[in-house]
Amino acid sequence: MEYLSIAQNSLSDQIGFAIGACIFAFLWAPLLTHFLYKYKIVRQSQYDPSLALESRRDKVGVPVMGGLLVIVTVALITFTFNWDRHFTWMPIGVMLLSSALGGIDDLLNIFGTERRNRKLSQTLTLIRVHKLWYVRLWLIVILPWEIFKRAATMLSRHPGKGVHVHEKLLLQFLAGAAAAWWIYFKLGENWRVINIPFDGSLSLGFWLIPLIIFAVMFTANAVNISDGMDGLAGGMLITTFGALTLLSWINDFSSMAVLNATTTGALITYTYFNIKPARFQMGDVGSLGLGALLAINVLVLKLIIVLPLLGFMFYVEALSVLIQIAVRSLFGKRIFKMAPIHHHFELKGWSEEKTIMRFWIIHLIFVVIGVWVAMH
Amino acid sequence: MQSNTLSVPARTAIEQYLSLPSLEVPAPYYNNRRHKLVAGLRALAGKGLPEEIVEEAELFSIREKVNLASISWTDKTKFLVDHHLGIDCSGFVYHVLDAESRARGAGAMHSHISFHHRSFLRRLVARLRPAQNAGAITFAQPTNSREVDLAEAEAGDFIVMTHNSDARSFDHIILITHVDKATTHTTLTYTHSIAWPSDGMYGHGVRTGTITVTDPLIKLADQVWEEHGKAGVENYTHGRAVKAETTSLRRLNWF
Repeated sequence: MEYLSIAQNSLSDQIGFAIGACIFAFLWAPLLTHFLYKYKIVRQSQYDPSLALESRRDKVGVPVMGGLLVIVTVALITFTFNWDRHFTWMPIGVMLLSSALGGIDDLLNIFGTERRNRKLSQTLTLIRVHKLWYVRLWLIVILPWEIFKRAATMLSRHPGKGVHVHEKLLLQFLAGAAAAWWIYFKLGENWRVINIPFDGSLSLGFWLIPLIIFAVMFTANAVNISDGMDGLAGGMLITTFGALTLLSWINDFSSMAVLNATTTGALITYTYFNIKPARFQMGDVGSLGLGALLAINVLVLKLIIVLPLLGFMFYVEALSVLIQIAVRSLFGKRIFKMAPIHHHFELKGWSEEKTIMRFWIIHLIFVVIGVWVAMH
Repeated sequence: MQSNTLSVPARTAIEQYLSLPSLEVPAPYYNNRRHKLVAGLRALAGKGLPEEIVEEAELFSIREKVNLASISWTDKTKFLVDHHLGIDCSGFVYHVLDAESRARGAGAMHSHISFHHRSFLRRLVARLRPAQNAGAITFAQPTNSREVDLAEAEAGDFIVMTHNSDARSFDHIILITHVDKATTHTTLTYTHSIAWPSDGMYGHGVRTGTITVTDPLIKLADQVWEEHGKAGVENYTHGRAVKAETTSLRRLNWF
């Protein structure tokens, strides 16, 4: 009876935090909108071919970095009411680190100047012909980095003004490494095993570290890729963080449950303003941060095995991009009319609303399955 | 008169190149040697199927806010050429022969064609992208085709012109689509993708012509070639056949 009462109180707290975050975000949303318009932090068309679509032209000039609404709300509420040295500080830290990276990218895309990467062939030529031996030596030393840079540009549409792909990958790797260090070394031995639904648990040993880094990097980018239509990423994130609230409550991670409830509340307000026609868009500042938060959340709950279900449509979107790039590079063909896959359906004639609603529903179905699997 | 022609799927493929679906203009000639696109879409490297060329054209038109349905025939051709959309000679022959090979029950081209690259990486790339790596020389390799006499010409054979002495020219390949054998002569109808110097910037592409074989014992280049209403020295294709170091009629080994 007493246990039931504690559980009820805990649930009541979570709902309270969700409502509080929702209201707080509503209160300062006009301030954020005013700030974004005032400083012209708005979407540019020059590097986004999807904006050439007839149905998407009205998105040029819409403020970006609306994800700050969620990031700042979640960070402030957690710092103030839910600061837990054991559980919440690292998820918030990784979220803020990823958000900072996304924020820099957003700002550079608007206010930065064009940066071009030297081609690999140019570096190789310089190694052969440069008149100074120490420059040649330096170019040989940095050759692996140059190769990495060129390989990373294959994943990018435009090596333009923003943070370049190789820089993004490196910084995301650092964020993932920080998460891995915390989970592996700080949370203790309990977190070195992952729960296998229906079958107990599995100890991964040191393999957990690369798995965590990969999960954080891939999920952050997956959410980032999904943020391409009004309300799409926001709506799907509400479902995912709602499910995470439930799972953390069931598994008795009260501070994580409050963190997830706060995120869900803030996301509801964000999505209210982001629904077509969007008052503002999430931007990398929100999508990278929330993607990293999603991954680290699941890792803390030891539910990495259900991460593909809890973030189903995000991974579908990310895989559609990878498949498109792989098939184009290897076979010279196009699988989707445009990647990520939501643009493919748009080009096939689906309206933006139809695409978003269907993606929300499919995502919801898989998240529910994920919750069910996680409970076994 | 004895006639011999390509299968329906191969003829359909040719018709689609001669009149691209929904655009209704012939596929222009485009050779990737100038722009050297690597690891890109084959439709942008002069090796795409008709529907792939059309899809890329439509995507370009969306990005550039051009309504392809409302522009003139000439503007459509200009649009394709300006966006490097078209087909080169070997890409065209590869796709038509692929359709023919499948129609004859011999399976896809990529399962038969062999590439003679020394490096493993080049061989791997060629296996992954057979249409892009099958040039005129690849078709002429003895592992892929054999030489046939003019008197035995059939639809599905091809003419390869190699090592052209004109430095500005590439090796070229022409596909025989129809053969009419009369008592006095044989008419070979051919199709190919080519750009004549007289075509200018936008007049080139997939087109058809005929070779009238009056004496099968004399060289192929010395027969009567007619294309685009031109014969003799005015016929650039014939000129290339004359200038080529070897001009041979060949047939795929699995045909």
